[in-house]
Amino acid sequence: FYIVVTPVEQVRLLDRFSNKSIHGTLYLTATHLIFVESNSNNSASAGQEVWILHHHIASVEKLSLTTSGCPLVIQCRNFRVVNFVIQRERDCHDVYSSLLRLLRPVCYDELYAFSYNPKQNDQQREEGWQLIDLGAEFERMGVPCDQWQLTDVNRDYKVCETYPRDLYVPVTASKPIIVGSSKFRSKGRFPVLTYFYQEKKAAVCRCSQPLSGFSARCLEDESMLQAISKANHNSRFLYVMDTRPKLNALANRAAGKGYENEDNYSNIRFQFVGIENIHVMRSSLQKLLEVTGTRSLSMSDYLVGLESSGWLRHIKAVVDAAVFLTRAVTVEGASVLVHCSDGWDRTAQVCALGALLMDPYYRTIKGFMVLIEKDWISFGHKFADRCDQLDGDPKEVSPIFTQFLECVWQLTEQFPQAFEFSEWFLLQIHEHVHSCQYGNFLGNNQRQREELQLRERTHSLWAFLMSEKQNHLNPFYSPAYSEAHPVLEPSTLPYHFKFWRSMYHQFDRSMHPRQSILKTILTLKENSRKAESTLQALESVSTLLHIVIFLSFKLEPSRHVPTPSFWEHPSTTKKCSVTRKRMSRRRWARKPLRAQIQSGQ
Amino acid sequence: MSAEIMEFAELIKTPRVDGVVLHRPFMPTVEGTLCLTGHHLILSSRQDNTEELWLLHSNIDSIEKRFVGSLGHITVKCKDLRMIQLEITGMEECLNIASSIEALSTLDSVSLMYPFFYRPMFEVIEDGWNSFLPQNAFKDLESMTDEWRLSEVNKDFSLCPSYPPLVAVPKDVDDETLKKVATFRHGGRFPVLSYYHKKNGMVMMRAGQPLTGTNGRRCKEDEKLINATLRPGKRGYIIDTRAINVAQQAKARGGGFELEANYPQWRRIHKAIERYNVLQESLIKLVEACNDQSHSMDRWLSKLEASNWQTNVKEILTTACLAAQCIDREGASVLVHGTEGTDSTLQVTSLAQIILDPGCRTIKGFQSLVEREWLQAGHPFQQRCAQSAFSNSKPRYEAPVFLLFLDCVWQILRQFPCSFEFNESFLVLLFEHAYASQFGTFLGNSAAERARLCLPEKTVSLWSWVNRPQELERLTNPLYEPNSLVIWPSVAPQSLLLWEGVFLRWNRSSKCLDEAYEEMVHIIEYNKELQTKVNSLRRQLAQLETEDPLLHTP
Repeated sequence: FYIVVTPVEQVRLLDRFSNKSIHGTLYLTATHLIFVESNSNNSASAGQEVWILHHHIASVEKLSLTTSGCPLVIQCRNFRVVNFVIQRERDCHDVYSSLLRLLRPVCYDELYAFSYNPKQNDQQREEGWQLIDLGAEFERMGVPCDQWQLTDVNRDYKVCETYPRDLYVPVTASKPIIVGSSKFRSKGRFPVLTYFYQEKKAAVCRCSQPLSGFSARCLEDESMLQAISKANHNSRFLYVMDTRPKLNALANRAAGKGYENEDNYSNIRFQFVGIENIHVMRSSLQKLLEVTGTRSLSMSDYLVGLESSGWLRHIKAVVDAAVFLTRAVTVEGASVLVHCSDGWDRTAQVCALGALLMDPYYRTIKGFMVLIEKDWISFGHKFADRCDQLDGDPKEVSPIFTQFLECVWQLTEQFPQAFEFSEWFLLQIHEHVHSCQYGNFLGNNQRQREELQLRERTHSLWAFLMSEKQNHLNPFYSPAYSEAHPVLEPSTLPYHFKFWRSMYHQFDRSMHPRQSILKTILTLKENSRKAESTLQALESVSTLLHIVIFLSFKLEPSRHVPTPSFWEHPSTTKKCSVTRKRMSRRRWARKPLRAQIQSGQ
Repeated sequence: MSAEIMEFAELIKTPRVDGVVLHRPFMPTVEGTLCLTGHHLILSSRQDNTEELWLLHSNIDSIEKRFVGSLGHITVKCKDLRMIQLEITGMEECLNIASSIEALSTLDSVSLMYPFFYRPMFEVIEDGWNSFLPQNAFKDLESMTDEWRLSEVNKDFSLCPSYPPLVAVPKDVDDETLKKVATFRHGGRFPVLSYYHKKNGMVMMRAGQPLTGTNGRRCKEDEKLINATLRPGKRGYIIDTRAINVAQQAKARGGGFELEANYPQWRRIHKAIERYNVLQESLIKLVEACNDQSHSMDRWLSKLEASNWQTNVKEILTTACLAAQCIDREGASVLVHGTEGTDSTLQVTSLAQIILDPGCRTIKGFQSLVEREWLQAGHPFQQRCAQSAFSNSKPRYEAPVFLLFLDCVWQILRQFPCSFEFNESFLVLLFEHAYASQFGTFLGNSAAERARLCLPEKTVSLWSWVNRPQELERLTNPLYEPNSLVIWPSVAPQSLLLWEGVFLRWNRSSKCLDEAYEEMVHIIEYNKELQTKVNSLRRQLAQLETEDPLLHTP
């Protein structure tokens, strides 16, 4: 169903870091830009193909004409950078202007998800969407319970349109308290439960900043926090974590926003944790990519660039905050209320990462999907804006979710046995957050997703990833490890944070180890699995053979018995046909055996 | 011998102290009795043998002492970069212990070193001193080519004190010529064969710098010698491990480099590999950065950068790749030298062999490489490894040249985790033993010194210990699949990592990583076990079928 717009011949694809290049043809379809290497005369193998989804393209740049042609540089959101040299400037211009039109969709209907068809029927698609059930997830945590209940206050998105319909609040929080509190919170995002640590009955709640300005207060909001605090009998106080740097929070006060005044709220402990805002993160990643994209980069420039980009400092800040949250909940048994400004970026990072540290379930493949569905998708992380799904405000774009995935990767490096998934899983999720191929991440919040009828019109990524589960497994995963260490306590000393080469250079093959331990061990595990079933089959055939021989011996005991003592040749054809029938029933086992024996000899 | 033991006794002011508390990284605190012997610092709780500490004095790089009231704290900083703390009650006892440790850990005389006193508690299956004799290595070469011969010109070490008695030289060059060439090369280090590339017959040679001096002295015999290694019409490459300005400056001190006019068949390339105290400084700064307990990311990265360690790793690897490229891709022979030809030269020649020769990636092959390209080739281990990163004294000849080589090998191992027969532990082990050891292998600065010290007779070889089944098992890489190809590592900064197994070994718990490694070993072994079972069952069944004519009837 791809519409070929322009096959452009005689295009060179340059390697970004070496002087190598390959020749080929460029195709432009409705969804992809495709480069196909021309079959070089000496190689029998098919030429290399590069498929780039239009949604993945972040920018296209046409450089000035050179002697060898017109260079076209394409930067992708999955960190692929391709340099084409198109022989004729006219062709280059055509490709360039077509791409500009194609990669700036203005409405959701233009997104790939609405045309993507993986040959599934409606029932299969529906089942895919039912894979993750957040109601069941809260039940798993032990909610509702005597202290926490499901509220229908947001059933129609009346109180907060960026929250999901189903929200969990303390049983003592009445509707007037909720509504009052929501009016005192930025975008109406009042405090709600996101994770319940059953062992200590401690809650992780999230919200946006209070509209406190310099002196405003709100009794309902104060009651709300009081109710959260009181719902936990193990602790006399509630932590309020403002994930912003103090300076930013102070500045917000001038705009009538700000942070909780400890004098107005009884029994809260207020804490800033200093994660920077979306604009700082955006330019930090930009700087990082500039540095790592440099050709013939020196070690010194690399390390200086890594430092001055601040990227790893920001990653560490997020992990530090999650560690703080985890300790407060699991060690002190205190409930924690987490917020930032609007409560959908830093708050999502910290809540999700904290839960991942506290609960081994989130470190499984299914659990990680649930975690993303809960803290990111349902609570309204603005994927559409942050990932630039539609032609929007560039100032809204920011790699907040990428940072979260990286934080998880940094943890997998410290705890190689604690996660069911490998980094390939994280890379796949990252790929599809930007691909707009599945409906899960489209739009900015649940309400918008319902309006777009994503469940009816698109497919779910989770179902696809589940079907490919084998590819995403971490071969070193040990459920026993998680049983022994349900709560992870990572070290956040600086040297534990490394540059994530597999993410930011995932398409620069020359930078990676030429042999992958992960791949090797996965293959071995797969081989072992096959060997196990072969062994089983062989054993049953062997048993069967022994029975056959044993029986025939019984029938003709006069014959000489070779070693082992009961083995003998059957000679009664009648009896044999019976046993052969029995054997043919087990042909599944016998067939491979024959083949194996022959090939083995 | 008894006189020497007397000497130790004089140095030990207090042989034992009770109630000493020991703190070690990632191990429980132990209280027990501290004993000082001639070669060891021992702390025993007398309850459980596993809690004993046996530390070689020669492993101690420096100590620091401080007092809180009458409680003395001694921080012992080891050459393997470990730091341990001792708490000793009583000022006098603490001072005595501290000064004894200081004296015992800085003994100058080689013959007082522990290897001369150590008696192995294990059965020597194969004497490591005889494992890698040059004659045997040459036999392999003879099977591939007849263009080289073993010369005994240096048999009494008179021509070149840092060379072994036997060296491989071009067949057509006689000993008289070698003698002349030796006078033209730094330290008498005339060009000798380092590696023969079987695939295309190209060679790598190494030497000391030519002594051209300011007036451009030349030596026809030198030119003849190295030209003898070239195929007709082929050019060779001279890789000078010094930057061009450094090489220029060397002229003033009588050194220099090969001038194009005199060596028209050779193309000279200069690379800038750091040497001596610059490297030692680099190590000191790196270790300091790793021990910085501040939580600042910026500080860590800027200190890591300022240490220049990773830059050194990259530069050495890049140069080794260049040498390997000249040989394998360009089909040209290579001569490598720096100034003396005992440090950066050896880093380059040995790493190039790791890249080119699959044989060097086996356990035995790597031992042989260390023996040929480092020990026999005259890397002054005694001088270079006298002090490590914690030393307070001004470095004289100390430099982590060998450690950098091991780091580079580790980088290649990381990039080709299935192509090496040994694992990281083997590299760490070599690092430890190069700096402090019960074995004689790394004692002395050259083959001549080792002969003089009678090391093969008086000490045990490290290889004797390593090449026993139980040790080999620990050092074997379970992922190893022999790979006969040339392996080209990436030298992009993003591809090179900090060697945590050495530099962060005592700063971060390796428990999780060790357990994951165990799991990996388990997966691999389980797979092997299954395959064996499947194969034997198949054989049994095949036998059964042949024995049973009925099963053959269709």
